[in-house]
Amino acid sequence: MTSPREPGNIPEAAVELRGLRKGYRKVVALDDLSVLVPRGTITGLIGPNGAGKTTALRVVLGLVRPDRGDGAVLGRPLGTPRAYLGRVGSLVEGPALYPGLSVRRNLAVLAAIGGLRGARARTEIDRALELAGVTRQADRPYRTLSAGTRQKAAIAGALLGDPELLVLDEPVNGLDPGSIRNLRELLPALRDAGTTVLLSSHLLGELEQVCDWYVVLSDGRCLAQGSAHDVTGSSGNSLEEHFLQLVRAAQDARAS
Amino acid sequence: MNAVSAVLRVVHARAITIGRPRIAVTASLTAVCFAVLVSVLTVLKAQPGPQQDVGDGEGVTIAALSTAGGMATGFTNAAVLTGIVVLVVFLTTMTGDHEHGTVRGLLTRGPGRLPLLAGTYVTLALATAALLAVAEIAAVVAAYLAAPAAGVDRGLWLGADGLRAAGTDYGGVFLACLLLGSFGALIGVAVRRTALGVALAVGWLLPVENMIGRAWDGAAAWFPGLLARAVATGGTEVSSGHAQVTAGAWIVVCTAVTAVLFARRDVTA
Repeated sequence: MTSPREPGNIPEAAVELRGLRKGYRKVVALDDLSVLVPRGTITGLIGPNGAGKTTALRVVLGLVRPDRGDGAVLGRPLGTPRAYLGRVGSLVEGPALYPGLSVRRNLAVLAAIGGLRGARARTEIDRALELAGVTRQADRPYRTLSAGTRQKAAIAGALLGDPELLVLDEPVNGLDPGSIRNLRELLPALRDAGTTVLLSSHLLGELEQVCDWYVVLSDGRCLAQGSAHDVTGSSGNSLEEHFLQLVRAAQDARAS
Repeated sequence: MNAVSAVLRVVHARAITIGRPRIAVTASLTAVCFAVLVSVLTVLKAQPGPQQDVGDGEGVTIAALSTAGGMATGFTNAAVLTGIVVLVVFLTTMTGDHEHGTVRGLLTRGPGRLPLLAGTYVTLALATAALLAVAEIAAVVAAYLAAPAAGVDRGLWLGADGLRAAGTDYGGVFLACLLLGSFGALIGVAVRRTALGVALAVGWLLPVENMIGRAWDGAAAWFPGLLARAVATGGTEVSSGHAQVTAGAWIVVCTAVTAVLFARRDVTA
């Protein structure tokens, strides 16, 4: 597999977005956004509040249609989500499961709609519950769970079916330190097993510990993308310092 | 994954969500209570006199109830109330998915929007069929038990003609409920909020339609709530045939508009 970290290599894309624009009334959420997420990486999508991270993920998942632009996900055109979503696991905009169903029944719903049935579904559900660290609470109604356990239940849902692409929007929200560490260990293991992970978070420190590719967004545009070295260049700054500089410069440019 | 396979997957998944006790038991009990109550009242309030159309709904006579088709009269008279239960289930299935955000989880498993909607409709229609079967049986049993007290002759009820009439009544009520259900689904997808949706749908069907109906004779031929009553009871103000065709047209139009809205609108938190 092409390593995106080796200079000169053109990485094979798991996700490629080209010239995306999406507006909501007077707000432009994505403005000519072009992004590449290489296969076999953990890619961190970083940006300040309102940068367009969640909108970009919604577009990838087919929840939102861009006003213009195109792209591809797992080799299929962006506008055909049915062609690729069966190979994608996702947690976007926070956990959202049926409150009256147990975690296990919720996962059974997702497994059924993803085409998993019978013994295979049960095995997959058990595997996902264990990976997400929520086995003990699996038979409790979702509405009775704490915020952190709900988050883990939703992560279990995203892991169902051994997806080729895992899209996680702020996955550490509500998690306790032990669960964050588990996730930090899980993601590289998934990547090493062939899963591409696309991760958005405000916590740059967390991202730095697991990501090997970064996409920096501000005001719906991509300011930089590449490995940590590609993004920070020869500035010698930390990722966080460089991120803040990039965003500030973009905001200053917009203001002037 | 082809469309049929996607729809079947959705049906399987929806069977878990719609079949959960809070929805299935509550809806069934409510529908059964309405059917039994109206059935008993219909029998006990029957008046002596010449036979009238059994489907009249008001002033049903003992003679009319004593015909082969009399046993499910209460069930058909309860059709609009049962239909409102079905409407609320259709509507809350749509709004609940938006309010809880679960529509995202369903869509991101890749069934596609139209198969998701189609599978949801199929599951809801099957659930409605089962609910109505239980309600009709309960209504018939209640009428059977109450009949002697009102002097209604049950002799023809359980013959072939009686069972055929009960089947026809079931079909009419099913069509009426699908009409109200598809109307509820449309409102649900349009407003995406349960309280607002229920208020709009029930507010339109009960007070608004009835007020307009009193001022305009044509309302019974065109408005969904009044049509549902006509379809279920066989029609008095409009012919049964007209009511069935118009109800079918309503179902098609409501489903088509729902599909367009569901397919085109962004899904956001």
